[in-house]
Amino acid sequence: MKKKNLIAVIVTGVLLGFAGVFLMIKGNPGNMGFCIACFLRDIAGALKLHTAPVVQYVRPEVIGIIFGSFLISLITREFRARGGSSPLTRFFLGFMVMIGALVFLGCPLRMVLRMAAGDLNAWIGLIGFMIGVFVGTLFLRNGFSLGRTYMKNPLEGAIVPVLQIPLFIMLLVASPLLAFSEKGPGSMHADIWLALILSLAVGVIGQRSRICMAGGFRDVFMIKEFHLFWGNIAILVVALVYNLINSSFKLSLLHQPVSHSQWLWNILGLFVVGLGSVLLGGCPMRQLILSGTGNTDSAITVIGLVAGAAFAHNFGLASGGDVYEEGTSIITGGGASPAGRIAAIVCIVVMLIIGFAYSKKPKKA
Amino acid sequence: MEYIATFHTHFGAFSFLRRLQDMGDEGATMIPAPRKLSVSCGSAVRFTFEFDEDAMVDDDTEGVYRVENDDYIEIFSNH
Repeated sequence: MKKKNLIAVIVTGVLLGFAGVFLMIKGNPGNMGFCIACFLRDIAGALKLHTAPVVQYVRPEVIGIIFGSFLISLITREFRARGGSSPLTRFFLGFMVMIGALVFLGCPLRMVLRMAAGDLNAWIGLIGFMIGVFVGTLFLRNGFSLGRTYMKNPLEGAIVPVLQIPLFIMLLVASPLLAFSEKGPGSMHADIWLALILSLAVGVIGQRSRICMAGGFRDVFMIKEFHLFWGNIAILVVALVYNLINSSFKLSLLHQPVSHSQWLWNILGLFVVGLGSVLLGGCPMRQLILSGTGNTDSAITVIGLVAGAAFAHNFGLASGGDVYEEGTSIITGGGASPAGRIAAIVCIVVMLIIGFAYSKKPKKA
Repeated sequence: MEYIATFHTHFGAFSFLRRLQDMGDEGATMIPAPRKLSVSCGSAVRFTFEFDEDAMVDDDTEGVYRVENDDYIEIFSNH
């Protein structure tokens, strides 16, 4: 039984590692074959919730993951509308996780894909992610809880998964209601159907395996259990090998696509993501998958992630990729913005307050 | 006899584990919830003391199962 679970996690990791590089080769931005934070940010832009012209596109990868998880949970009768576990707090935690991700420039999944492409900034950011997850486990050990969930009307659990259908149709017909980037990362994308099919597969097997980038580290720190962690390793190994074969592996701090080399803000950005993900019970990818299974708390979290992305771009909190003087390695721009740095610190403080505020002593029966 | 308890929250799992340890079940241990029992990535507790609903469960306890030949027989439910 345990072995079957382990195999499912590794298969999910292999698919994510493969798709992460393959979709980049087929048109997605550099080292961004899959990035849940970036793609939710692009969707926020396409819906005109922010107006950054270079990051606006309805990413079918997000639609596919949610809908794949929805379909398989219906088939296996695991679809259960549940919610009510501090939804507003979850909204703001999702909001802050997105700000942390946009200070670093990527979610934990993109962090691993960047690591696998030789981006040393992501390896540095990993330190912050691991510390964030570790601090999150300290809160869990000391009684942190956002409260239990309760059964809801099935319709409530189906809202976010079903909304993916009109969103996909609007993408397919290039609806004039949406904004589409004409340049920058938002203009770079793989074929819609290819991205949809691969991400549907990720949604299906991700739901079966329960893969979670934060959960992998959390279980190692908290209960010394490695099975989810092997999913992270599988993504890294497969993407690394694929990058080496594709000659897209470049070991360096500089000239990495859509990244900056400010080590402190890479660490602090991913600290926010790691801590927030543990408090929420899963990384952004896991939140998409749980939304598909009818978990309305995760759906609220996803809406919080989208809102966070919109605010991050409307208020200049998102970092920019390093800009270099023509033909040199001299950095002339990019990196974490002043507002983004303040926001990252505020997010850390607020998350710590939430961590303490929701911690209580173990109950007697 | 081996049992597995699943929970609505991590806090529920830690509280349950602590209660079991206070009762003297040194073998009680936290494990990832078996895939068959939960779609969440929550924690579960495996224990061997005879199940006692009054002494062991609270509102955060989702279910308790008796493990028999790699199968799980539900003996308590709080969904």
